Amino acid sequence: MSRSKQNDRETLFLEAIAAPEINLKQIRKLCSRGVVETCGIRAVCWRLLLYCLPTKRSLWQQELTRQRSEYNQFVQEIIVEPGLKRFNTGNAESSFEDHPLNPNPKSEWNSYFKDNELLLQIDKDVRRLCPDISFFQNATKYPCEDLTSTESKVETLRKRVERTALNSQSLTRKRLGISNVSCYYYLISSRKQASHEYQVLMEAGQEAHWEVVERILFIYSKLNPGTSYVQGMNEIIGPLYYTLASDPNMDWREHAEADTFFCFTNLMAEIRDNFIKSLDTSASGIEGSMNKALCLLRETDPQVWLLLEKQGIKPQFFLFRWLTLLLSQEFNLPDVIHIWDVLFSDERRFTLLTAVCCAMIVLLREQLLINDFSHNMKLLQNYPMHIGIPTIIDKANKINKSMK
Amino acid sequence: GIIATMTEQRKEYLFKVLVIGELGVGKTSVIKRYVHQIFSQHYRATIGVDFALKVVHWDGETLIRLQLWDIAGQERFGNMTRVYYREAVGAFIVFDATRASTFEAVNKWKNDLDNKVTLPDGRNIPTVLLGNKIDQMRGGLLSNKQQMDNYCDEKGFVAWFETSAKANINIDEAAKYLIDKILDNERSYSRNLPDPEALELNKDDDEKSGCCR
Repeated sequence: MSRSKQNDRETLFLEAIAAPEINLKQIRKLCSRGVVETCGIRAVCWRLLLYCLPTKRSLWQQELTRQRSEYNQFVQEIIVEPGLKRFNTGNAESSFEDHPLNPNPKSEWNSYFKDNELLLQIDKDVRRLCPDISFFQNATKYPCEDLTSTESKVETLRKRVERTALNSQSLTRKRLGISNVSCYYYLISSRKQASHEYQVLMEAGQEAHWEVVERILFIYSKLNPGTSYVQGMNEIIGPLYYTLASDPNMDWREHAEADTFFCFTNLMAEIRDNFIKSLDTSASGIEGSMNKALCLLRETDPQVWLLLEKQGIKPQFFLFRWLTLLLSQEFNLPDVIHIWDVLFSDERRFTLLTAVCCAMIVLLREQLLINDFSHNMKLLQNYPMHIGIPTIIDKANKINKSMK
Repeated sequence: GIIATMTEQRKEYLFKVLVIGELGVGKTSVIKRYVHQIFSQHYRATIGVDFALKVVHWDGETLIRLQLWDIAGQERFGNMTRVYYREAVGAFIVFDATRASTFEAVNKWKNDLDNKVTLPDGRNIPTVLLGNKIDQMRGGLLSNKQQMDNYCDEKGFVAWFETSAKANINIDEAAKYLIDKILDNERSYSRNLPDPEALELNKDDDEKSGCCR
């Protein structure tokens, strides 16, 4: 696209988001061709498309203030206050370690330990967010001061993870002494320090971006016990947080954490069913979504559909990941963000995603038709870089049109 | 299934091997080490399944194409495992030697496996237990070997290894051991009941049973 055309598009975007009454239809139309990279336009457009900002522009400030203070409240209630309690009683170490054996399921400690398991899962996954870029390992300019300040008397999530990792080791040693149950054959060596897997390499007062994401996910999972945390949510929140936390407009960027929480919550409300095991076979669950994509493929390219069928390449082998993660593991981050511009602009979310998946398969047809099972699996799991996002989107739109 | 073809003296096999275990025990790392000889501290969480292929020149006359199925460890993916396990002929169950809870879950994974997949003759598929991340155990290897041997006998593992994908300890050895067991099984079918699928797929050289020594 030429420079002047790019400028024209930028102007169109800027006008659209500056209107007193935002026209969502127009925003969708603009975004469906990808959002321009300048002026933090994307971060605003995504907030609009995910219904985190009202269409009446004069209400933005009020609404943002409300959301941000609500989020801060969550941080206080879910992390700071319990963390403060722990800090104050933290020296009586051994009394906690034994406590998971407390038969009272309602005990405060019991839920504390359950949360620690949850936290450890989240921790494992956020540390490995987008390992190909350094962004998430870098320090944020806006750490949570209640937690990071040197006077803070709070047990941070960071400390909780380390302690949990340590306790799971010492606990086993203890159990070994008192139990003959066969599953405790394996002895764990004694150590004073959690393994380096759980170390955080940050200077005092700093937090890495992945730690911010960890906090958001922990709060989300505590507030949504029905879904809790499921692997893959990390891959959904990653591009959202990245977009908001690298906003060139510092007034927005400062609130990336709280705003990401709301964008993520709204997005999850739409795709949550894909993450819930008990809904797998329901119409709204992941199997329904996979079947829709396969039906579309059958109508679009029966030959390729038949090939997948014959070679036994099940949707669970590749479409499951494509659909659950909104393609966020299939491309590098800039491409994921571009594709999300388009997916978010779909008024009937996520119908377009089905067509995009179908297009991705059809664009590989020449190779698919001559390859064997193994090579096709590798091809579908490692989508070739040379096929550009615009090509995929074009094809998806064509498929969509031909179905109407 | 197992597909064997014979081209002159060379014999080719295709084996599907599963890699399962709790989340974050290093399944992906074990596979990347074995297939690409690399290690990274962080691989993205596996969602659903990751597929890898390794060609093993077993001996002068045997070539093995190993399909490695790296299966997501979180409970959420439980409904998918039946589809992922189909037609596997061997498995690794991995736990993190520094996290007891991942060892406690081994039994659950073994039962899941045995319930959902068996060899054509009805036996359980050969499964090797891997205690990974031993590079992080200070003071050396502290597992009680006799107890682990007993555990494996009792639970039906063909062997166990302490491994480190990071320090490249015992990964090749464990793979060799498993392949050997799979080959034993394969040879015993070929003698007794030829794999009908293999015959069907290789109509032009159905000398299959004749080529096995």
